[in-house]
Amino acid sequence: MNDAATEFVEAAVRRYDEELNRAGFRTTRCGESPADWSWVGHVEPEHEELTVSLKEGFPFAAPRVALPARAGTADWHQTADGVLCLWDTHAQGDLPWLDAAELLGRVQQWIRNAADGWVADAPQLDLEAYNSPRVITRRGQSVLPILIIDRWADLADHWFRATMPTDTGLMELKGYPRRTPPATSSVRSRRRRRGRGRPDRFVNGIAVDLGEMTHPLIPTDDLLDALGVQTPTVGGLLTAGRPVLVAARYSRAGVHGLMGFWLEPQGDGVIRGCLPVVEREASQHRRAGWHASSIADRTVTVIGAGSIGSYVADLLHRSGVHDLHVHDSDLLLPGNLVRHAASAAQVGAMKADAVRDTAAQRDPSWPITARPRINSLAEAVELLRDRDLVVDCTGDRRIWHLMRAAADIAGKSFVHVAVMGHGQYGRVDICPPLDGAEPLDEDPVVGVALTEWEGGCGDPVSPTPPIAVLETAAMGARFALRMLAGEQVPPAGESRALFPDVA
Amino acid sequence: MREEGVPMAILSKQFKDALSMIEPGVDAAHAAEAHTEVRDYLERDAELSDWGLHTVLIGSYKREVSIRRVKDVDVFCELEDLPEDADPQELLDKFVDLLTDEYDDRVCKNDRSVKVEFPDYDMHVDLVPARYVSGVWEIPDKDGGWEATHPIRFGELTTSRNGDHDGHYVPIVKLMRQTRRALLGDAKPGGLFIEVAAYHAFADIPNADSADAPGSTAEYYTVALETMAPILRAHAQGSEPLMNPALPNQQLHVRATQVELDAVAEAWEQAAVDARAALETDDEQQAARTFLRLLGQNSDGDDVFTVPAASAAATQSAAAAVAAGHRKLPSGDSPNFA
Repeated sequence: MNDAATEFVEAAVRRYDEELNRAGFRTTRCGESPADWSWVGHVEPEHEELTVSLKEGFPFAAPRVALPARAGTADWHQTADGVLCLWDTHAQGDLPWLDAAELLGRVQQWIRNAADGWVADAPQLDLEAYNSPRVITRRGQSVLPILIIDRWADLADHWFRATMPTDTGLMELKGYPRRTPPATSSVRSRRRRRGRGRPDRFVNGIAVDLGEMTHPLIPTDDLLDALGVQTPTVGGLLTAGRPVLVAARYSRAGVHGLMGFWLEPQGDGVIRGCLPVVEREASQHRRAGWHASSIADRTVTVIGAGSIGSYVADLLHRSGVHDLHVHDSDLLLPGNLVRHAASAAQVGAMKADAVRDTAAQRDPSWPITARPRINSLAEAVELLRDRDLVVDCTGDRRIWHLMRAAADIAGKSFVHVAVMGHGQYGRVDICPPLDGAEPLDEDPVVGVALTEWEGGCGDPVSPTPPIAVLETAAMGARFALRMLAGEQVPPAGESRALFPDVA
Repeated sequence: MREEGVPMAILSKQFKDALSMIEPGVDAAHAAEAHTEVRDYLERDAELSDWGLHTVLIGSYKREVSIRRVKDVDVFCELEDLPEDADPQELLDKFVDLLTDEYDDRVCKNDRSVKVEFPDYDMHVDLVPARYVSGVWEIPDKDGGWEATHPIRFGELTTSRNGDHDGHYVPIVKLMRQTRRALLGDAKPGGLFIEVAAYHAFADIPNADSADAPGSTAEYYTVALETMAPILRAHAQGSEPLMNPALPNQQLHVRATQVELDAVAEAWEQAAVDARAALETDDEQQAARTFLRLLGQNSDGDDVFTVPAASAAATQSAAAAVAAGHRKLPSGDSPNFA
């Protein structure tokens, strides 16, 4: 840490020391870094001992606040060593712990809530926080495994197989066995494993519903009991020296959460570590934004899967457009990646395919349809008539003329999204403008000398900054989204100065 | 002790560092080496052994209230089987003769003890022979007779008082001894006088079981000065002389002139006022400078108390740039993108 930062933190700690001492706490440890400091005090109504200790990151990190007498008792919002969870992440924004009176008040509120059984608790689905995590080592690094599933409904009450954790800890469903896994592997498979010396490629798992949770800590015996008729099978697997993954669904205040338990035999007992279980589809769709439900059934075509088009299509896919077509016939080259939404793995593919496959890698629920470029007026008219919205992202004046003519014939506007003057302006034009409005004025673009050429390209390489591409694409996607959702938009579109000072 | 809304310059780390600055440090190792060597030597003497020699550490070193630099280590030489008619001065001479055989001219006879110099350590070991009569230990007095003493008792009382005050008593005594050194230099009375005054003062300071007990070292330091000041004044005036804690009916031997006693009383009264003002100021720089003045420099010439940095960063932090709920984000309450 540099001197100024050190002095800032030291002054904050001194101030906190005074604050706590004034509130009746006593300094029990002090030293050079925040982690060297701790205090002891008491909190009403039972005059219970309360300890406060700082962590690195103070004053911007909350202190560890503990009721030592409660260590070892499992309760919501408290760790096994009695450390209280006083604020959720969002509530920490105002650094409430810096006010000693507020800190004490918060602890008293915690004590009251604990005594009442946390009846007013929000359905926080963070059971992982209370149960020891499974930590593995991959390439010398500690890794926390995570099991990704598509939908809990596919899994519920079934045996399943999951891949072993990758280097990043990722575990995925590998399939469903046709019958309950035998407690011991067959002689043949044992021989095969021994002979080749290969590690297990999958782990057997069982999915179980634990119901409403009244307690944050789930004892292993309770977990095994919850497996019902499968308990002997799980016990048999463990006795045979084979790990078992239990994927569990639980409820708090009627809201479901998921978590996993990796059970592994060790000596005469069973050790276990917890891991997150995540429904990929649902968790992604929850984050698609508030338009998602209203645009899910809309049909959109994006013409051009270059810089602007790739990001417009990607954003619309992320936002919940299920029926999305992308038209382009160009190849994705390494240089394109700097201003393109596709991943590097797609280099060499058609740009439309690259956009489709990149999106599918993230969320395969509603695949993008890749189509070749638009060549004829008839195709353009058909698109405008068949699709709810057409977005032209080609930046090609020839295509714009084609689309403009098609719009007149179809009697329907399309959206044109383009960067002007190699990044000087970003524009979204509704063509023709809605409700008979006048088109936007032209932007005062100045000429830019193009000096970069590249083999395989007939045109010079545009110096357009990637930022201009993303900002313009976001404008275009926003217009598209609002129009699809039936919201009011400026009738002619929008122009935004991005880098207008280019020499 | 705490009043609502009154600022307090606790400066916990600065006080902790101050205590480190006055710790004996390497002196402690030298003292251990010196007293062990002398005690081993005495215990090899047949006559002393016949008299039941048993040596125990006493004094500020034993009570762990000594501060840098440690100049002397006191060893109490219990001679439980010393003949009743033994002459105290002859006993001291016996010690001198025996020690001279080993330490030559490094041995010196005092009124009540025999001193062995360790010039390499700039330190000496004081050996105090004692006989046991009617259940009481007696040591030579300056008039050629014997006088009762109970040096171990003061150590026991120190441990007890330290426990009553949750471990604050011993460090505060060290700070008081350092304050005497800072304010009065080499003038008498010495550190034991201050320690005894502190011992009596702590009887009137609410202990750790009380809600009114001082919480921090800064508060203890201030309260101790305030509580000691009238005790020192009463002693200087002769109205209530300091008593030996180990022997309740015995006045403490104090080698100081009236001027010196008045000076220490006056210094403590002013220090108490200054410390209180420092404790209750909201200007930690000013507070720290006061504590620095009261604690002065250690024997190495280093400032005992560190004044915190007054940089822009520290000022910004102290000026409540970081305070609960102080700032609102320009962007408002942004969501967590979980």
